[in-house]
Amino acid sequence: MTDGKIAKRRALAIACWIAFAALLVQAAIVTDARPQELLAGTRGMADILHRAFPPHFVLWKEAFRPALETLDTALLGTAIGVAFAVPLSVLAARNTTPSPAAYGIARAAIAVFRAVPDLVWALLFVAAVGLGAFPGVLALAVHSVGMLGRLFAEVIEDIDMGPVEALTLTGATRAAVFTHAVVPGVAPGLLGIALYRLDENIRASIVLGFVGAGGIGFQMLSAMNLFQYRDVAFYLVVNFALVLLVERLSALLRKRVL
Amino acid sequence: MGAREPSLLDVRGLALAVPGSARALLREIAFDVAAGAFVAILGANGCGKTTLLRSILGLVPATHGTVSVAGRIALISQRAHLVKRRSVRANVAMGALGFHRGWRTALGALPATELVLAQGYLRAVGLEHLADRRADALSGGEAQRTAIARALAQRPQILLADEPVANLDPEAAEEVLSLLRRLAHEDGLAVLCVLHQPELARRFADRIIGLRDGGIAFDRPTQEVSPAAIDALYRFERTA
Repeated sequence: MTDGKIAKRRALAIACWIAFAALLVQAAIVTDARPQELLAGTRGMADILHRAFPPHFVLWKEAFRPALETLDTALLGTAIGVAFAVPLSVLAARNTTPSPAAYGIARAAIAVFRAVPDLVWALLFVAAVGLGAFPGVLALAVHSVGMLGRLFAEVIEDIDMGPVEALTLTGATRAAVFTHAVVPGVAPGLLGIALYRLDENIRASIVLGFVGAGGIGFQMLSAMNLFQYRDVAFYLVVNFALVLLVERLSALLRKRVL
Repeated sequence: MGAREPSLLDVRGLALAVPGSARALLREIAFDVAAGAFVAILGANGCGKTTLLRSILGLVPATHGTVSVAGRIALISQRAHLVKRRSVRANVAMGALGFHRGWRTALGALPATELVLAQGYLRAVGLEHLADRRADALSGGEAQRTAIARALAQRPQILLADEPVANLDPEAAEEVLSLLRRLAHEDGLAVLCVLHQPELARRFADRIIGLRDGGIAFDRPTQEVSPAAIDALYRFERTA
């Protein structure tokens, strides 16, 4: 490389860094970032933390059902999401879709399900079926179809097409080629993604409780509104335990199956 | 054997042109393969060997000519293309999926009868002891022999092989070619095998067809093929 080229590259690198820094500054301006106020507000935060301690552990009996609700919301939402995402991803993968039209429609559906946040889906379903865990299940299911559909389609597109071609040449039906050559290749990848989604959905189902979709999140919001910070602290501990439990379980399953 | 046996594969005047161009991929190809014959096709890269096989299988429609087939055809490719996470036995049984087009196979089941038959095909290729092993735990030679067993599960009369030993070490290559020759000589299959190694064609094939620039340069019994004739097939590639 000539000296001129090296100098040009260096100038380009510096320009990139300056552009990146400018991007961050504009983000700070738009979000009205005020770090000085964070420092000034530490006293208020410390006060809340002080009032939240020790967590109100005596609530464990009352917390059991909402915790189970949160767990089940995530479990059912993920299961329904997987059930719909699998056929949709087959249509949305270039190598398995039966027609360009089916591909386009499937991709568009996935994009819509993904683009609308689960919180918005929850608000819609609360309006439709009322308060409780069920709208949470529906919200997580719909959003999961979008998230999983795209990832599943990518896994399917990455498969080795050799066995598919080999079985097609035996005269097997399209469906048989799919179940025998595609499914064994993608199953571990799909399971890994689904378990990761379950992990994500536990966190999401806690947040959904804030908009009335039941579970531990709903309890936490109620305690916050009543300034019961020790209760809030306890529900946070339950949240932490739930997230940790599902994370460990899904890690264990992934290790076993993959 | 040879001339007295019935012809199972009959190719007549097969031609294939590149669409919208004067270039010919195949030119007036004519030959037949009898039951019990092991015929090798030799030729330089790009001379039309694989195109010829694809054309016989109907995957590439020919511009002219006919391919007459008396019986079922099975194909063995350069790579075994096994389903890695399934057992060797299941992979072999999958070769028979064309005979079972119902909802059970569509849902992922393999017919019990085919699993039993698969054991027999594995015996034929010398891999009966590996039936329960997962396909991704096989060596290259074992995988290719499993692919041959899967081809046998199609109950073919004609076996096409597209460079079946290209990715194998010399020992495994010999095993696979010995097996193909045995299937021709002992079981009466018509075997048409594209090879890249002239010395292997000389050792295993009954007959060699030399392809050059999309046309047949020679088609003779192996003992009548001179080294000079084989050299001529590859000379074009060197000067091109």
